[in-house]
Amino acid sequence: MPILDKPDLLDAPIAGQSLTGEPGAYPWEQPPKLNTVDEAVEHYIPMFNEKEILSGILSHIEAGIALTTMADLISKGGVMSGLHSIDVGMMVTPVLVEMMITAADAADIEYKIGTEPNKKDGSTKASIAAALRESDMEPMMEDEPVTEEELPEEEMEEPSMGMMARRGV
Amino acid sequence: MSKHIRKLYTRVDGQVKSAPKKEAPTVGLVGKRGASTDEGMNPVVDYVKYIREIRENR
Repeated sequence: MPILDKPDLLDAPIAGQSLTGEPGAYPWEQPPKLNTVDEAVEHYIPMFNEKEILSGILSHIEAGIALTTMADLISKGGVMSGLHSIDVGMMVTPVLVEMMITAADAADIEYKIGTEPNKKDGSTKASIAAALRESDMEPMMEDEPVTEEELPEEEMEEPSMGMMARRGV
Repeated sequence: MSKHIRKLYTRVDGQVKSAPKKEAPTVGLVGKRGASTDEGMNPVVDYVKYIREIRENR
């Protein structure tokens, strides 16, 4: 992603530029329509009864997107459209995740909540050795002593002769 | 924000699992709106618990 790696700083907004716009120009600058978690839940739960929305959600779950990520997107969309504040959006996400689990279970689709431990961290010495055995590779001998001849010679750094170099130490 | 949501869900999940079995909430969507909320209840935990119970009893 070259665009994301090197953003064009000359095209970036000037610091404080957002404060020069007219207040209330965007939906999220208006007072939120839903002020409590109850109201937000009442808004979101019927969404799972609409076929088009539900099929979209299920297809994303099937694609392997974590439910917490999807709940995050849904709540952020609500904040952007001025439905509720970020706080209420945050509080309603566990309910959204639970509803998505219910929908995925009903449709018999495997889902990933997003709170599962990372599998990369679970690799142990035994699992690595088993994987090496399976691939017919011999694991490196751990107890083999390393002789001095095998060690690479450390290169002696020449003392710096610059103006800022410490001398006589 | 996604990281915070994961933390929040884990916390709510733990609260739901450790909470003693109670009757369905009396406020909000799943109960009678406008009822007293001075019961120290957490609406998020109650909603998650309620949805989970419905799913398990299906």
